[in-house]
Amino acid sequence: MLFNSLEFVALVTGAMCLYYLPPLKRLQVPLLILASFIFYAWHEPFLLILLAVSASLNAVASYKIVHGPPASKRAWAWAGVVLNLGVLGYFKYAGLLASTFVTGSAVLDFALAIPLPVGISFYTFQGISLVLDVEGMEKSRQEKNHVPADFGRHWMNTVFFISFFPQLVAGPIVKARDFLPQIGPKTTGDIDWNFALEKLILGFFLKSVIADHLQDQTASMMWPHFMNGTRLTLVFYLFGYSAQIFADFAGYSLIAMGVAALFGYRLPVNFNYPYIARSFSEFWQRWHISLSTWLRDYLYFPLGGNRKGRRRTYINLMIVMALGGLWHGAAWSYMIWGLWHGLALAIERIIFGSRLDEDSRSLPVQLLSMIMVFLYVSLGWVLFKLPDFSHVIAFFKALVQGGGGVVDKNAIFGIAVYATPVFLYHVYALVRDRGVYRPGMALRNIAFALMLFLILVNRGNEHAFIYFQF
Amino acid sequence: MPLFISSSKPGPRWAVVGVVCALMLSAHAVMVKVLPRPVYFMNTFHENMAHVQSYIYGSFKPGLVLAGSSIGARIPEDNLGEDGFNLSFHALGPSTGLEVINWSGIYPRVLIVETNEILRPVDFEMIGRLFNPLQYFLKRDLPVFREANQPGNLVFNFLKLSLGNSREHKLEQKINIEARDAEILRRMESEKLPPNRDEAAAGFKNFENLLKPLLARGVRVVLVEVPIHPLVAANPRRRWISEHFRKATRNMEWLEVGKGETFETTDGVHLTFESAIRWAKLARAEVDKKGWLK
Repeated sequence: MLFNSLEFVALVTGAMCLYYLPPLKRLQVPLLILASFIFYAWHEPFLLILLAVSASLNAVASYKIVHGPPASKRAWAWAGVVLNLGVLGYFKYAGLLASTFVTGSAVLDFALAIPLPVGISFYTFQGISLVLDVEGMEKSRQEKNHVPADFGRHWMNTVFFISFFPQLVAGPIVKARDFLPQIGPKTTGDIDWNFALEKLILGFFLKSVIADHLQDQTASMMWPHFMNGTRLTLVFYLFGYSAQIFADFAGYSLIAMGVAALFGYRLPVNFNYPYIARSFSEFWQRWHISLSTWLRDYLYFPLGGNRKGRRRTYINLMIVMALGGLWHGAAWSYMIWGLWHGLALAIERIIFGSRLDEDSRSLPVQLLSMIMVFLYVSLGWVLFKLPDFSHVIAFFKALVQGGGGVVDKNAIFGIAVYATPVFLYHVYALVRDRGVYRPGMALRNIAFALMLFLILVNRGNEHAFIYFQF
Repeated sequence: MPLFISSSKPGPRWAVVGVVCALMLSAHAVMVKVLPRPVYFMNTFHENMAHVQSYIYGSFKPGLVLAGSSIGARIPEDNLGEDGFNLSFHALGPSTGLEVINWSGIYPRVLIVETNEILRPVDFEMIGRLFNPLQYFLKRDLPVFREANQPGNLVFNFLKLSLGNSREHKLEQKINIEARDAEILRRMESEKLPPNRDEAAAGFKNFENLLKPLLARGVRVVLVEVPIHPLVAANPRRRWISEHFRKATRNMEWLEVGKGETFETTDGVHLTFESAIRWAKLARAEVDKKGWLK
């Protein structure tokens, strides 16, 4: 079910109407679970079973960590992690591993036929977050009220946490320690309308107006069509795709935040103007923040982080980024994309050490750094657009040598028009953060009115969110 | 940077936003009324949508309709006659045009089907977007919501016209020989295998099913192959489809247009503007000669 579909609007409206009815106050969590199951099952009813089973097993593991015998707590934590990774590995990576390492056709055919459940990368990571956060809280002897003694209630809370529909299929990846304390009765007084409406309007603008239009303009960035593109055309495709992937993903995350707020829940910010990052480490503090913090907390730190010497730090960075890349898709090109970023992070650390202070550099240097980071990141996005690595090579060759065709003026115009708001969005952050200019409420209202107007009359062709494929 | 952003309850702020938005909508509605209908679009999706919406929402009753792919879309509608309409779509096939006719209930007297891309399936997403009841009636009664009238398209159209793009300009455009030859070679490479037989048979059957309601309504359906570059036409895939489709439709009427004439393409499959005009006139002349629209 797409966020920009009538069915979704109907689901949210219907759910809200029932959710805030006083007689149904005690059933708010089951109601949201039902809405989430309807959302998920809309296109994949059979795979809903997997979601429900996965969430239930996570509930058992986390419950046992808190309320089980002390000697088995660690074992249950490991079981929870292995279970989630096992589900993810089987459904997402069996095909890749089989096609890479297996020659027997029966095994390969079987592996390639395994369905890829929508959102599996997100909900398995949330399951891991649950068991590890619960184990961490248990170790530090924090309050147990996030894992109630009543297993039924804990099961309900866990299924809700993992399946909550605004973030179920494309994030943000929510940490259990941030979400579980929020679970409780809500009233309409808990709705922060300003927050919800701002996020919804900005999110739908980025997705429906910007990303969906840019998707049509960058459609010819596929092989073999880009072979006919001139250098200028391909450069525009490259930057157009950078703008598109940001608008698509950030738009989705904002909509998720806005919808969650309508039910009284806060999801974490997932994007913080990433294209004004002045270093690669800063980029990863601004882009897909929920994933980068998840990888930091549950992978980088357990590997030792930067506490085991410089060489080990670089290796840890490469491992984390390679696996983070592979998380995005079952293709080696995604791992290469991760290594592309890992390499940049490692080299940056070699040159600048661990305490790179972007603010201390002069403004021209900061601007130059922003441009370089943006260029490097944009080149990496080609691996997302073209999962076949041979096509990536062909694209870069065509970018350098130029194709034999003509300049695609229509696409260039379209990309220039629809990428400009993304550019302005980031420029706004730059001038605001430096105290140069802060728009007043009147200008903000006009901006939101304009975005709402464009959502109504200037939407692109509806496409699924790019991150749905992960 | 805090993870969660807190904000106050709204005052009349969102009422102000709503009012300003409504004013923008009103201004846009006036512009749509006043400005000429756009003829240039930023992308093929909008071009397709704008064109088909002028078919389903227009009061024009077509005598002759051409349904096809991007090959057919090159045919200038003006040269199909005063009662002609080109219901061909970029990146799609004639099946989508047939589905549009069936859903809209606007039946022409003569339907020419361009068969060069006969296996392209119906774009049901487009059909859904067109005929979903809410969207259909909203866009029918409020043209401001139609894709053709999007502010982005209006601006693009204005700029294109200001820069002197016109029919005369299109006639003067030269073929980029290098690009055309590269594209021909690419097609020869990508179309060197015939299609999957079962898929092709299913495609032919699907086409047949789409024709049934039209034939039942008395529409005269005529099949045609628009001329393409001989090297591309000789590709194993295209040759296989052409031969098998002709066999499957041997009981149907075929129109031979421009036999003996030479036509030029920009890329091996799409006619140049000049050739497209000529082909359109010849096709119309054939239809008139046979008296199908009397």
